[in-house]
Amino acid sequence: MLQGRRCVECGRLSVERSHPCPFCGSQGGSAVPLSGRGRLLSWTVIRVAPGRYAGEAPYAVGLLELEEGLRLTARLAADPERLTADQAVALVSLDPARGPIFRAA
Amino acid sequence: MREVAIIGVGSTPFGRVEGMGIVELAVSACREALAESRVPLKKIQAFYLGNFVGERLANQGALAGIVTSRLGLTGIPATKVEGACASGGIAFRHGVLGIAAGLYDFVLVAGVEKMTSSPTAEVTAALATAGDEEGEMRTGLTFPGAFGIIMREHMARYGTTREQIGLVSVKNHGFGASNPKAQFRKPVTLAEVLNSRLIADPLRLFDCPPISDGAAAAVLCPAEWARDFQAKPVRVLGSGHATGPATLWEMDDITSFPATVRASREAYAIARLTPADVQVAEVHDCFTMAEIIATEDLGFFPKGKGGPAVEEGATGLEGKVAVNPSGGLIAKGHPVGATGCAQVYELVKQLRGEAANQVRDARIGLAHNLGGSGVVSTVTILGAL
Repeated sequence: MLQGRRCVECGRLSVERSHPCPFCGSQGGSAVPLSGRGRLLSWTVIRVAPGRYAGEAPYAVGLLELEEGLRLTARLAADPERLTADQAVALVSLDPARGPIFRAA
Repeated sequence: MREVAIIGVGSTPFGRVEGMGIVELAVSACREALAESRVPLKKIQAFYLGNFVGERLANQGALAGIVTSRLGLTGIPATKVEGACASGGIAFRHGVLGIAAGLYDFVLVAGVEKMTSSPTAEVTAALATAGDEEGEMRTGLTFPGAFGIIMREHMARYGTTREQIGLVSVKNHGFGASNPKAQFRKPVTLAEVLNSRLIADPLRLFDCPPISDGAAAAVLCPAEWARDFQAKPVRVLGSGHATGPATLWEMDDITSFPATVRASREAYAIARLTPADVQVAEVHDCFTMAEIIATEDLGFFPKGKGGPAVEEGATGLEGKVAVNPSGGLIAKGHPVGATGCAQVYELVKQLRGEAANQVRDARIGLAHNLGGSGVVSTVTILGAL
Protein backbone atom coordinates (compact mmCIF):
# COMPACT_ATOMS: atom_id res chain seq x y z
CA MET A 1 0.00 0.00 0.00
CA LEU A 2 2.00 2.92 1.31
CA GLN A 3 5.61 3.05 0.21
CA GLY A 4 8.37 5.17 1.66
CA ARG A 5 11.91 5.97 0.70
CA ARG A 6 14.99 5.58 2.85
CA CYS A 7 17.75 7.99 1.89
CA VAL A 8 21.09 6.36 1.14
CA GLU A 9 22.98 9.39 2.51
CA CYS A 10 21.17 10.60 5.66
CA GLY A 11 19.11 7.48 6.30
CA ARG A 12 15.88 9.40 6.87
CA LEU A 13 12.55 8.06 5.72
CA SER A 14 10.07 10.06 3.64
CA VAL A 15 6.95 9.34 1.64
CA GLU A 16 8.19 11.16 -1.45
CA ARG A 17 9.63 8.21 -3.31
CA SER A 18 10.02 9.91 -6.65
CA HIS A 19 12.02 12.91 -5.41
CA PRO A 20 15.48 13.53 -4.04
CA CYS A 21 15.57 13.27 -0.24
CA PRO A 22 13.62 16.27 1.17
CA PHE A 23 16.01 16.46 4.12
CA CYS A 24 19.43 16.34 2.43
CA GLY A 25 18.84 16.48 -1.34
CA SER A 26 20.52 13.15 -2.02
CA GLN A 27 19.34 11.30 -5.13
CA GLY A 28 19.97 7.81 -3.84
CA GLY A 29 17.30 5.97 -1.89
CA SER A 30 15.54 2.64 -1.63
CA ALA A 31 11.84 1.87 -1.48
CA VAL A 32 10.59 0.78 1.93
CA PRO A 33 7.11 -0.67 2.53
CA LEU A 34 5.27 1.18 5.29
CA SER A 35 2.79 -0.35 7.71
CA GLY A 36 0.36 2.54 7.36
CA ARG A 37 -0.02 2.63 11.14
CA GLY A 38 0.96 5.52 13.36
CA ARG A 39 -0.21 8.18 15.75
CA LEU A 40 -1.61 11.69 15.55
CA LEU A 41 0.79 14.43 16.64
CA SER A 42 -1.44 17.44 16.01
CA TRP A 43 -4.42 18.33 13.84
CA THR A 44 -6.85 20.98 12.67
CA VAL A 45 -10.39 21.04 11.37
CA ILE A 46 -10.64 22.93 8.10
CA ARG A 47 -13.90 24.89 8.15
CA VAL A 48 -13.02 27.31 5.35
CA ALA A 49 -11.73 25.05 2.59
CA PRO A 50 -10.01 25.91 -0.68
CA GLY A 51 -12.47 26.05 -3.60
CA ARG A 52 -11.70 22.56 -4.92
CA TYR A 53 -12.64 20.94 -1.57
CA ALA A 54 -15.29 23.45 -0.44
CA GLY A 55 -18.04 20.83 -0.44
CA GLU A 56 -16.05 18.57 1.91
CA ALA A 57 -15.64 21.00 4.85
CA PRO A 58 -15.47 20.56 7.76
CA TYR A 59 -12.70 17.98 7.50
CA ALA A 60 -9.62 17.17 9.57
CA VAL A 61 -6.01 17.34 8.46
CA GLY A 62 -3.32 16.01 10.78
CA LEU A 63 0.41 15.78 11.24
CA LEU A 64 1.12 12.08 11.75
CA GLU A 65 4.06 10.01 12.83
CA LEU A 66 4.12 6.52 11.39
CA GLU A 67 5.48 3.47 13.24
CA GLU A 68 8.60 3.54 11.07
CA GLY A 69 9.41 7.01 12.41
CA LEU A 70 8.58 9.27 9.48
CA ARG A 71 6.09 12.11 9.53
CA LEU A 72 3.50 13.17 7.00
CA THR A 73 0.62 15.58 6.68
CA ALA A 74 -2.59 13.79 5.70
CA ARG A 75 -6.34 14.03 5.44
CA LEU A 76 -8.17 12.22 8.22
CA ALA A 77 -11.37 10.34 7.44
CA ALA A 78 -12.63 10.68 11.01
CA ASP A 79 -15.14 12.65 13.02
CA PRO A 80 -13.15 15.85 13.67
CA GLU A 81 -14.82 16.32 17.06
CA ARG A 82 -13.56 12.96 18.35
CA LEU A 83 -9.87 13.25 17.59
CA THR A 84 -7.40 13.23 20.50
CA ALA A 85 -3.67 13.78 20.80
CA ASP A 86 -1.52 10.67 20.38
CA GLN A 87 -4.40 8.61 19.11
CA ALA A 88 -3.67 5.70 16.82
CA VAL A 89 -4.33 6.15 13.11
CA ALA A 90 -4.25 3.78 10.16
CA LEU A 91 -4.14 4.16 6.40
CA VAL A 92 -7.50 3.85 4.64
CA SER A 93 -6.64 4.55 1.02
CA LEU A 94 -4.36 6.36 -1.37
CA ASP A 95 -6.41 9.11 -2.93
CA PRO A 96 -5.01 10.25 -6.29
CA ALA A 97 -5.80 13.91 -5.53
CA ARG A 98 -5.58 14.19 -1.75
CA GLY A 99 -2.79 11.70 -1.03
CA PRO A 100 -2.90 9.05 1.71
CA ILE A 101 -6.10 9.14 3.79
CA PHE A 102 -6.01 7.93 7.40
CA ARG A 103 -8.67 6.96 9.93
CA ALA A 104 -8.74 6.65 13.70
CA ALA A 105 -7.54 3.16 14.60
CA MET B 1 30.32 47.05 2.12
CA ARG B 2 28.82 50.52 2.41
CA GLU B 3 26.42 51.50 5.17
CA VAL B 4 22.87 52.06 3.90
CA ALA B 5 20.21 54.51 5.09
CA ILE B 6 16.50 55.05 4.48
CA ILE B 7 15.78 58.67 3.51
CA GLY B 8 12.11 58.49 2.58
CA VAL B 9 9.12 56.22 3.12
CA GLY B 10 5.56 56.14 1.84
CA SER B 11 2.46 54.04 2.36
CA THR B 12 -1.11 53.98 1.10
CA PRO B 13 -3.83 53.33 3.65
CA PHE B 14 -4.39 49.57 4.01
CA GLY B 15 -7.80 47.99 3.55
CA ARG B 16 -10.33 48.05 0.77
CA VAL B 17 -8.84 50.90 -1.25
CA GLU B 18 -11.58 51.83 -3.72
CA GLY B 19 -10.73 53.26 -7.11
CA MET B 20 -7.05 52.32 -7.09
CA GLY B 21 -5.63 49.45 -9.08
CA ILE B 22 -2.42 47.61 -8.31
CA VAL B 23 -0.24 49.99 -10.37
CA GLU B 24 -1.77 53.12 -8.86
CA LEU B 25 -1.29 51.76 -5.33
CA ALA B 26 2.41 51.13 -5.96
CA VAL B 27 2.86 54.50 -7.69
CA SER B 28 1.15 56.33 -4.82
CA ALA B 29 3.42 54.83 -2.13
CA CYS B 30 6.52 55.38 -4.29
CA ARG B 31 5.65 59.05 -4.98
CA GLU B 32 5.24 59.68 -1.25
CA ALA B 33 8.61 58.04 -0.47
CA LEU B 34 10.35 59.94 -3.27
CA ALA B 35 8.86 63.27 -2.19
CA GLU B 36 9.92 62.68 1.40
CA SER B 37 13.47 61.80 0.36
CA ARG B 38 13.85 64.94 -1.78
CA VAL B 39 16.00 62.88 -4.17
CA PRO B 40 15.58 64.14 -7.74
CA LEU B 41 13.82 61.48 -9.83
CA LYS B 42 16.71 61.22 -12.30
CA LYS B 43 19.06 60.08 -9.51
CA ILE B 44 17.11 56.85 -8.86
CA GLN B 45 19.14 54.04 -10.42
CA ALA B 46 17.16 50.88 -9.66
CA PHE B 47 13.74 49.69 -8.50
CA TYR B 48 12.82 46.51 -6.62
CA LEU B 49 9.16 45.63 -6.15
CA GLY B 50 7.72 42.91 -3.91
CA ASN B 51 4.50 41.32 -5.15
CA PHE B 52 3.01 37.86 -4.66
CA VAL B 53 -0.36 37.36 -6.36
CA GLY B 54 -0.68 40.34 -8.75
CA GLU B 55 -0.72 38.15 -11.83
CA ARG B 56 -3.52 35.99 -10.48
CA LEU B 57 -5.69 38.51 -8.60
CA ALA B 58 -5.00 41.74 -10.52
CA ASN B 59 -4.22 40.25 -13.96
CA GLN B 60 -1.00 42.20 -14.04
CA GLY B 61 2.47 40.88 -14.79
CA ALA B 62 5.62 42.90 -15.60
CA LEU B 63 4.64 45.03 -12.64
CA ALA B 64 8.09 46.44 -11.80
CA GLY B 65 8.61 47.84 -15.31
CA ILE B 66 5.09 49.23 -15.53
CA VAL B 67 5.34 51.02 -12.18
CA THR B 68 8.78 52.35 -13.15
CA SER B 69 7.33 53.88 -16.32
CA ARG B 70 4.36 55.37 -14.51
CA LEU B 71 6.77 57.04 -12.09
CA GLY B 72 8.72 58.62 -14.95
CA LEU B 73 11.69 56.36 -14.31
CA THR B 74 11.64 54.51 -17.64
CA GLY B 75 15.06 53.14 -18.44
CA ILE B 76 16.34 52.02 -15.03
CA PRO B 77 16.54 48.31 -14.16
CA ALA B 78 13.34 47.22 -12.42
CA THR B 79 12.89 43.86 -10.74
CA LYS B 80 9.79 42.19 -9.31
CA VAL B 81 10.55 39.90 -6.38
CA GLU B 82 8.31 37.04 -5.25
CA GLY B 83 8.70 35.17 -1.98
CA ALA B 84 5.06 34.73 -0.98
CA CYS B 85 4.20 36.96 2.02
CA ALA B 86 7.91 37.86 2.39
CA SER B 87 8.10 39.42 -1.10
CA GLY B 88 8.34 42.97 0.29
CA GLY B 89 11.08 42.09 2.76
CA ILE B 90 13.13 40.44 0.02
CA ALA B 91 12.65 43.44 -2.31
CA PHE B 92 13.87 45.75 0.45
CA ARG B 93 16.90 43.55 1.04
CA HIS B 94 17.85 43.62 -2.64
CA GLY B 95 17.77 47.42 -2.59
CA VAL B 96 20.05 47.39 0.47
CA LEU B 97 22.44 44.93 -1.20
CA GLY B 98 22.65 47.07 -4.37
CA ILE B 99 23.82 50.08 -2.39
CA ALA B 100 25.97 48.17 0.09
CA ALA B 101 27.84 46.55 -2.80
CA GLY B 102 28.44 49.93 -4.43
CA LEU B 103 26.42 49.04 -7.51
CA TYR B 104 23.92 51.91 -6.99
CA ASP B 105 23.71 55.10 -4.94
CA PHE B 106 19.95 55.69 -4.96
CA VAL B 107 17.42 52.86 -5.01
CA LEU B 108 13.63 52.80 -4.74
CA VAL B 109 12.01 49.73 -3.16
CA ALA B 110 8.32 48.96 -2.73
CA GLY B 111 5.78 46.24 -2.12
CA VAL B 112 2.20 46.07 -3.35
CA GLU B 113 -0.90 43.87 -3.45
CA LYS B 114 -4.47 44.34 -4.67
CA MET B 115 -6.67 41.63 -3.16
CA THR B 116 -10.12 42.96 -2.27
CA SER B 117 -11.49 42.87 -5.84
CA SER B 118 -11.36 39.06 -5.85
CA PRO B 119 -13.77 36.58 -4.22
CA THR B 120 -12.48 35.13 -0.91
CA ALA B 121 -12.25 31.61 -2.37
CA GLU B 122 -9.98 32.90 -5.14
CA VAL B 123 -7.81 34.81 -2.65
CA THR B 124 -7.53 31.70 -0.44
CA ALA B 125 -6.55 29.57 -3.43
CA ALA B 126 -3.99 32.15 -4.60
CA LEU B 127 -2.39 32.39 -1.15
CA ALA B 128 -2.34 28.60 -0.83
CA THR B 129 0.11 28.47 -3.76
CA ALA B 130 2.78 29.51 -1.23
CA GLY B 131 2.51 26.00 0.20
CA ASP B 132 4.03 22.82 -1.23
CA GLU B 133 1.16 21.47 -3.31
CA GLU B 134 2.38 17.91 -3.77
CA GLY B 135 4.01 17.65 -0.36
CA GLU B 136 1.13 18.98 1.72
CA MET B 137 -1.49 21.35 0.31
CA ARG B 138 -3.20 18.68 -1.82
CA THR B 139 -4.52 17.19 1.42
CA GLY B 140 -6.84 20.19 1.68
CA LEU B 141 -4.66 21.98 4.22
CA THR B 142 -4.86 25.79 4.19
CA PHE B 143 -2.54 28.35 5.82
CA PRO B 144 -4.93 28.93 8.71
CA GLY B 145 -5.02 25.12 8.97
CA ALA B 146 -1.22 24.83 9.16
CA PHE B 147 -1.20 27.42 11.93
CA GLY B 148 -4.08 25.62 13.64
CA ILE B 149 -1.93 22.45 13.76
CA ILE B 150 1.04 24.49 15.01
CA MET B 151 -1.11 26.25 17.63
CA ARG B 152 -2.43 23.00 19.08
CA GLU B 153 1.15 21.73 19.39
CA HIS B 154 2.42 24.95 21.01
CA MET B 155 -0.41 24.82 23.54
CA ALA B 156 0.19 21.13 24.33
CA ARG B 157 3.95 21.40 24.61
CA TYR B 158 4.37 24.71 26.45
CA GLY B 159 1.04 25.19 28.18
CA THR B 160 0.36 28.29 26.10
CA THR B 161 -3.29 29.18 26.72
CA ARG B 162 -6.01 30.04 24.23
CA GLU B 163 -6.39 33.32 26.16
CA GLN B 164 -2.71 34.26 25.80
CA ILE B 165 -2.91 33.66 22.04
CA GLY B 166 -6.15 35.66 21.82
CA LEU B 167 -4.51 38.58 23.62
CA VAL B 168 -2.23 39.07 20.60
CA SER B 169 -5.35 39.97 18.60
CA VAL B 170 -6.63 42.26 21.36
CA LYS B 171 -3.26 44.07 21.51
CA ASN B 172 -2.91 44.44 17.75
CA HIS B 173 -6.49 45.60 17.21
CA GLY B 174 -5.90 48.10 20.00
CA PHE B 175 -2.94 49.51 18.08
CA GLY B 176 -4.85 49.45 14.80
CA ALA B 177 -7.59 51.55 16.36
CA SER B 178 -5.20 54.48 16.65
CA ASN B 179 -3.24 53.97 13.40
CA PRO B 180 -4.84 56.02 10.58
CA LYS B 181 -3.28 53.71 7.93
CA ALA B 182 -4.80 50.56 9.49
CA GLN B 183 -7.63 48.52 7.99
CA PHE B 184 -9.31 47.76 11.34
CA ARG B 185 -9.82 50.91 13.38
CA LYS B 186 -11.62 49.60 16.45
CA PRO B 187 -10.53 47.60 19.49
CA VAL B 188 -11.79 44.07 20.14
CA THR B 189 -12.23 42.28 23.46
CA LEU B 190 -10.78 38.91 24.38
CA ALA B 191 -14.32 37.52 24.54
CA GLU B 192 -14.94 38.67 20.95
CA VAL B 193 -11.74 36.94 19.80
CA LEU B 194 -12.53 33.70 21.65
CA ASN B 195 -16.13 33.67 20.43
CA SER B 196 -15.38 34.53 16.80
CA ARG B 197 -16.13 31.72 14.39
CA LEU B 198 -13.75 28.80 13.98
CA ILE B 199 -11.70 28.90 10.75
CA ALA B 200 -9.26 26.04 11.36
CA ASP B 201 -9.46 24.65 14.90
CA PRO B 202 -8.35 25.92 17.31
CA LEU B 203 -7.75 29.07 15.23
CA ARG B 204 -10.65 31.54 14.93
CA LEU B 205 -11.54 34.45 12.68
CA PHE B 206 -9.97 37.13 14.91
CA ASP B 207 -6.72 35.16 14.98
CA CYS B 208 -6.40 35.95 11.24
CA PRO B 209 -5.48 39.02 9.20
CA PRO B 210 -7.97 40.50 6.71
CA ILE B 211 -7.81 40.53 2.91
CA SER B 212 -6.24 43.88 2.00
CA ASP B 213 -5.11 46.30 -0.68
CA GLY B 214 -2.07 48.45 -0.09
CA ALA B 215 1.46 49.47 -0.96
CA ALA B 216 4.50 50.79 0.88
CA ALA B 217 7.84 52.13 -0.38
CA ALA B 218 11.25 53.38 0.72
CA VAL B 219 14.14 55.32 -0.82
CA LEU B 220 17.65 54.15 0.06
CA CYS B 221 21.10 55.75 -0.28
CA PRO B 222 24.57 55.42 1.27
CA ALA B 223 24.41 56.40 4.96
CA GLU B 224 27.19 58.97 4.57
CA TRP B 225 24.98 61.10 2.29
CA ALA B 226 21.70 60.56 4.10
CA ARG B 227 21.62 63.84 6.01
CA ASP B 228 21.84 65.80 2.77
CA PHE B 229 18.36 64.53 1.94
CA GLN B 230 16.63 63.76 5.22
CA ALA B 231 16.88 65.39 8.66
CA LYS B 232 16.05 62.09 10.37
CA PRO B 233 17.58 59.29 8.32
CA VAL B 234 17.34 55.71 9.54
CA ARG B 235 20.29 53.36 9.18
CA VAL B 236 20.03 49.74 8.03
CA LEU B 237 22.09 48.05 10.74
CA GLY B 238 21.61 44.47 9.63
CA SER B 239 19.74 42.37 7.10
CA GLY B 240 19.14 38.62 7.04
CA HIS B 241 17.41 36.38 4.51
CA ALA B 242 16.99 32.62 4.82
CA THR B 243 14.86 29.70 3.72
CA GLY B 244 13.32 26.80 5.61
CA PRO B 245 11.07 23.76 5.12
CA ALA B 246 7.82 24.39 3.24
CA THR B 247 5.88 21.58 4.91
CA LEU B 248 5.03 20.72 8.51
CA TRP B 249 6.34 17.15 8.20
CA GLU B 250 9.80 18.38 7.19
CA MET B 251 10.09 20.49 10.36
CA ASP B 252 11.79 18.82 13.33
CA ASP B 253 9.81 21.16 15.59
CA ILE B 254 6.63 22.72 14.19
CA THR B 255 6.62 25.43 16.89
CA SER B 256 9.72 27.15 15.46
CA PHE B 257 10.59 28.40 11.97
CA PRO B 258 14.23 27.71 11.02
CA ALA B 259 14.10 30.43 8.33
CA THR B 260 13.31 33.07 10.97
CA VAL B 261 16.01 31.80 13.31
CA ARG B 262 18.62 31.81 10.52
CA ALA B 263 17.65 35.22 9.10
CA SER B 264 17.68 36.81 12.56
CA ARG B 265 21.09 35.33 13.41
CA GLU B 266 22.49 36.86 10.23
CA ALA B 267 20.90 40.25 10.90
CA TYR B 268 21.98 40.37 14.57
CA ALA B 269 25.56 39.38 13.61
CA ILE B 270 25.85 42.08 10.96
CA ALA B 271 24.33 44.69 13.30
CA ARG B 272 26.48 43.45 16.23
CA LEU B 273 23.35 43.55 18.36
CA THR B 274 21.36 41.10 20.46
CA PRO B 275 17.58 40.69 20.86
CA ALA B 276 17.80 42.67 24.14
CA ASP B 277 18.87 45.78 22.15
CA VAL B 278 15.57 45.95 20.22
CA GLN B 279 12.89 48.30 21.57
CA VAL B 280 10.32 47.97 18.79
CA ALA B 281 9.57 45.10 16.40
CA GLU B 282 7.20 44.67 13.50
CA VAL B 283 6.84 40.89 13.24
CA HIS B 284 4.92 38.69 10.83
CA ASP B 285 1.66 38.05 12.72
CA CYS B 286 -0.08 36.31 9.80
CA PHE B 287 -1.94 34.63 12.67
CA THR B 288 -1.89 35.35 16.42
CA MET B 289 0.11 32.17 16.98
CA ALA B 290 2.70 33.34 14.46
CA GLU B 291 3.43 36.49 16.47
CA ILE B 292 4.17 34.47 19.61
CA ILE B 293 6.42 32.08 17.68
CA ALA B 294 8.21 35.02 16.01
CA THR B 295 8.97 36.63 19.39
CA GLU B 296 10.51 33.32 20.49
CA ASP B 297 12.40 32.63 17.24
CA LEU B 298 13.79 36.19 17.21
CA GLY B 299 15.13 35.67 20.73
CA PHE B 300 12.98 38.21 22.57
CA PHE B 301 11.65 35.46 24.85
CA PRO B 302 12.77 31.89 25.58
CA LYS B 303 11.02 29.08 23.70
CA GLY B 304 7.56 28.53 25.13
CA LYS B 305 7.53 31.84 27.03
CA GLY B 306 6.02 33.94 24.24
CA GLY B 307 2.47 33.29 25.45
CA PRO B 308 3.04 34.43 29.06
CA ALA B 309 4.98 37.45 27.68
CA VAL B 310 1.84 38.69 25.91
CA GLU B 311 -0.22 38.21 29.05
CA GLU B 312 2.33 40.14 31.15
CA GLY B 313 2.34 43.06 28.72
CA ALA B 314 5.97 42.47 27.71
CA THR B 315 5.02 43.04 24.05
CA GLY B 316 2.95 46.16 24.74
CA LEU B 317 3.99 49.76 24.13
CA GLU B 318 5.64 49.98 27.56
CA GLY B 319 6.91 46.38 27.55
CA LYS B 320 10.35 44.85 27.12
CA VAL B 321 9.90 45.03 23.35
CA ALA B 322 6.88 46.70 21.72
CA VAL B 323 5.58 44.25 19.12
CA ASN B 324 3.51 45.38 16.14
CA PRO B 325 2.60 48.91 17.29
CA SER B 326 1.26 49.47 13.74
CA GLY B 327 -1.46 46.93 14.49
CA GLY B 328 0.48 44.24 12.65
CA LEU B 329 -0.89 42.18 9.81
CA ILE B 330 -3.94 41.33 11.94
CA ALA B 331 -5.23 44.90 12.36
CA LYS B 332 -3.19 47.11 10.03
CA GLY B 333 -3.94 44.69 7.20
CA HIS B 334 -1.96 42.24 5.06
CA PRO B 335 -1.64 43.15 1.39
CA VAL B 336 0.81 40.27 1.16
CA GLY B 337 3.48 41.65 -1.20
CA ALA B 338 3.46 45.03 0.58
CA THR B 339 3.82 43.78 4.15
CA GLY B 340 7.65 43.63 4.33
CA CYS B 341 7.95 47.24 3.14
CA ALA B 342 5.06 48.36 5.38
CA GLN B 343 6.98 47.01 8.38
CA VAL B 344 9.96 49.16 7.36
CA TYR B 345 7.62 52.16 6.93
CA GLU B 346 6.34 51.75 10.50
CA LEU B 347 9.83 51.32 11.99
CA VAL B 348 11.17 54.39 10.18
CA LYS B 349 8.29 56.42 11.66
CA GLN B 350 9.03 54.91 15.10
CA LEU B 351 12.76 55.70 14.91
CA ARG B 352 12.02 59.27 13.80
CA GLY B 353 9.58 59.67 16.70
CA GLU B 354 6.65 60.18 14.31
CA ALA B 355 4.62 56.98 14.75
CA ALA B 356 0.89 56.82 15.48
CA ASN B 357 1.58 54.54 18.47
CA GLN B 358 4.99 55.86 19.41
CA VAL B 359 7.36 53.68 21.45
CA ARG B 360 9.19 56.00 23.81
CA ASP B 361 12.90 56.50 23.06
CA ALA B 362 12.92 53.89 20.29
CA ARG B 363 16.48 53.63 18.93
CA ILE B 364 16.60 50.12 17.46
CA GLY B 365 13.80 48.48 15.48
CA LEU B 366 13.45 45.01 13.92
CA ALA B 367 11.27 43.92 11.00
CA HIS B 368 10.45 40.23 10.51
CA ASN B 369 8.77 39.03 7.32
CA LEU B 370 7.74 35.37 6.78
CA GLY B 371 6.65 33.58 3.60
CA GLY B 372 4.22 30.66 3.53
CA SER B 373 4.50 28.49 6.63
CA GLY B 374 8.19 29.27 6.97
CA VAL B 375 9.66 28.62 3.51
CA VAL B 376 11.39 32.02 3.55
CA SER B 377 12.05 34.83 6.01
CA THR B 378 13.77 38.20 6.10
CA VAL B 379 14.88 40.10 9.19
CA THR B 380 15.94 43.74 9.02
CA ILE B 381 17.39 45.73 11.91
CA LEU B 382 17.11 49.51 11.72
CA GLY B 383 18.56 52.23 13.91
CA ALA B 384 18.14 55.97 14.28
CA LEU B 385 21.16 57.55 12.58
